[in-house]
Amino acid sequence: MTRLAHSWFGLLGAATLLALAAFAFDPRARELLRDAPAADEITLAAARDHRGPLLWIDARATADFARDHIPEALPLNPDDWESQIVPVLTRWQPGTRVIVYCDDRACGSSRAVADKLRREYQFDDVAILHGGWAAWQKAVGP
Amino acid sequence: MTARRCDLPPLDGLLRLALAGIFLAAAAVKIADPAEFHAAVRTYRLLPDLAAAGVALWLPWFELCTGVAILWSRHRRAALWVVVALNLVFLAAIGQAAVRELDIVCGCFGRPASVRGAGYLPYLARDLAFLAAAVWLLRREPATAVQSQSPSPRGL
Repeated sequence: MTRLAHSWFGLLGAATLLALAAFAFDPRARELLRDAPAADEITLAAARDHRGPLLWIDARATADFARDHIPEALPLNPDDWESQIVPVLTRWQPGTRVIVYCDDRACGSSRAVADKLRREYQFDDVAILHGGWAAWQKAVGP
Repeated sequence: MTARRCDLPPLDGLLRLALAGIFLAAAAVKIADPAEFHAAVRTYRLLPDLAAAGVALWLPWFELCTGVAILWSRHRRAALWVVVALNLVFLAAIGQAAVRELDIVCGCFGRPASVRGAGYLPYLARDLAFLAAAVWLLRREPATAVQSQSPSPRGL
């Protein structure tokens, strides 16, 4: 076996051993294999049980929001941020739980919008809806 | 020994350091928050959930080992080939997302920036730059290795 192949197998082996060690000792790593909501996600049932001010943010494309959305949700997506952030800031007040959603579990914009609200606007209670719009539709029906 | 090190082109050394630093930094943020990286992998819609979780668990450690190996002359050549292969995979993943107009987060350095529309181009350009740097170093590596292994003309 060539030296290059030795090095490749060494790299693959070392990475695999370290990943296995992380899996064994880091509970967060084991959580990945369960279909549980991540730490910053909230299930629809928990969102509905929430008592107190709640603000739904729809991070899908504006056209999708126009077709249908969760009642009282406000649109806010990265493409139209400047025009859509103003109503969000008007509606939000300290203590409001903000829940952001996009299409489903595999869409990215809800995560990006939530991160930006936390980081740049100091929103202190922002969660992502586990399963997104698809979960809402499944629960409510078409 | 000092004379040989001084013979190494400074650009090569800087590029190696930069590539290693990028891989180590990318690995560190993913290892620090595996759930965030798992969510990012999922947005590419290439793998079933279990496989996406496996990638999210394993890839950061592979990047970490690659970053270390770039700095280790014995394994550098293999590590640079890994950088080439990984960047080709990343380019293919981002490219298919662009073609399918997916709403992804890059997952590259932890911060979940949304990528849509023309937003794909900077990410493709960045991975192409990493690929070019690795290919450049691979082309230079044999010459550097021969130079460092051959006896000095002055007999040092």
